[in-house]
Order: sequence, then structure tokens, then C-alpha cells
Amino acid sequence: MLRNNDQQANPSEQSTQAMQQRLLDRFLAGVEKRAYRMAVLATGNQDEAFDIVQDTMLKLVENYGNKAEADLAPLFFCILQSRIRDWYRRSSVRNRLRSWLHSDDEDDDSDGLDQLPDPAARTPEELLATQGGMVALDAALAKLPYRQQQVFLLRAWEGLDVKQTAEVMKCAQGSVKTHYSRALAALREKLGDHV
Amino acid sequence: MTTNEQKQSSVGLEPQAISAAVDRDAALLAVVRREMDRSCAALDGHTLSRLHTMRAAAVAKQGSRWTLSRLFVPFGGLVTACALVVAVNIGWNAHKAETTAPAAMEDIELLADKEALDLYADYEFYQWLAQN
Repeated sequence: MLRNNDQQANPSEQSTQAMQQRLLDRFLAGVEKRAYRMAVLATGNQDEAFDIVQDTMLKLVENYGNKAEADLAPLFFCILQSRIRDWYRRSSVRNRLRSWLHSDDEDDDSDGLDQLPDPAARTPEELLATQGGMVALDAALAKLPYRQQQVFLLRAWEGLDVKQTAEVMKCAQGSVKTHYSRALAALREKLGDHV
Repeated sequence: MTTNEQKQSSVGLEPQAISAAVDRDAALLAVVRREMDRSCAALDGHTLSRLHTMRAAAVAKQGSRWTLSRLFVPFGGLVTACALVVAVNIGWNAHKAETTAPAAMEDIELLADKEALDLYADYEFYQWLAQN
């Protein structure tokens, strides 16, 4: 049945469909790595980041697959941020539940080692000195609160303006300015001397 | 970074200090962009492959969605035709109800008027009276 319909489709429809698919492919190819990096920074987990990016791609195609190329970027980042927010909500509920469940049998398994600082963990400054800017920047960005981090990336890296960022992050423009300013100050403090 | 944001982050500083802070922020932002771009370029093959697979699946979904929407076009036409028939039927019934309404009103008038009702009750007598 599908095959017959494909065969019956007139050439102009087929070419429109192919053109839209090429447009989507080109757009997603241009944005997928940055989206993945943003998701990794937000979640700190590669598999979660893959899931978020995949959901975002599918949702974009499903709901906005026929939009013009200029409209795709804000929509894509809107969906991406929505997925990241969902992940934060889920993980915070999970963590609360876990802490509640583990509060009773805390004395059973815990030997206190979990509470000690990781000797291998390094500050952004140390990472910058030893492994270069990329790792140090990752560490500094990862330490930022979620909203500051994502607002900073959208503004500084994606080049969205204040209004677009506010729409994507579902917050007021004033909040975007505040988050951005705080993120910049925090990064300046952590990395400024090394830049 | 906009001028307002630069002002906001540099409130309370001397002009030279503001200028230095702006330059430092610009340098920091340039480094951030460069390093983030580099981190994307340095993604390993496995990651790139997974992203490519996801993208291909999403784009293919667009194709199947397109085909499915075309598949349902005839059904859409059928649904429209059914809706039209129902609408016409409802309209026709409404029209019929409107045309029968005055007749019903006449009956109500006859029933309400006591004298007229008596007249109709003895209609055969009056008819005989008129003939003779």
C-alpha cells in the first residue's frame, strides 16, 4: 500500500519531500555535536546525553519537520532544554527517593569512604595547567548551576540573543541577563587568570 | 555580550577598569567558543557514529511521516464527505422542524380558543345547518 502510494506520488511532491529531508539532515548534522556537548555538560552522563539528543531530534522532525531552516534552531534548542529540564526533574525525584530509602540503612553499608574527597579530582585551575583548556573549561562549566550553564552556552556559544534565550529557557529576559552575568563572573574567577 | 550586560557586570568600576574587564570578558568568551568548538571536533568515532545513526533515523521518520500523511489523504476525503452528509442531514431536519412549527402553532391556537374548539366539535351540525 505504502509502496503504491510512493509510486503514485507526483514528481513535485517527491522532490519537496527529498528537499525537506536534505534540509533537516543538514540542520541536524550542523547542530548535533553542540547539542550533545551541551547535554553532556548538563547531565554529566554520555548515555543520558545521547537519549536527550535523540528525543530532541525525533521531536523536532515529528512536530516541526516542515518548518523553514531559519526557524529550526530556536525550536531545536527549545526542545533540547525541555528534555534537559525533564531529566533534571526525574533525577531530582530519583535522588530524593534514593536518599529517603537509604536513610534507614545508612549504617549497614557505608564505611565513610563515600564522603571523602576524591584524591584524583582536580580543580579547573589544575586541569588547565595539566591537560589544557578544554578539560578545564569542561570542569568549570560543569560546576555552574544548570540554568547559568545553559544560558551561558546558548548566549556565548550558540549566539542566541537575550530574547531567544529567554524563550528557549522559558524564563524572563532579566533572568537570562542575571544567569549570564553570574556564569561569566564564575568562569572569569576560575579561568580568567589562565586565559 | 551586549553593552548593557557589560555595564551590569562592571558596575562601580572606573572607565579604564571597565574597559579592561570588557576586554578580558571578550577574550574569555573567545576562548570558550574556541575550546567548545575544539571539543566538538575532537569527539570520538563511536560518538559521531551514534549521532549519525540518530540523525538518519530522525530524517527517515520525516520521510515515513510524509508518506503516511499522503496515505491518509483519501481517508481524510471520506471523513470530510461523511461530515458533509451529516451536516446536510442536520440542516435538512432543522429546516423541516422550522416548516412544521407554524402548523403546530395553529393547533395550539385552536386548542387555546374555547369557542373555536366548540365550533370544531359541532362542525358536522354547522355544516348541515349551512346546507339547509
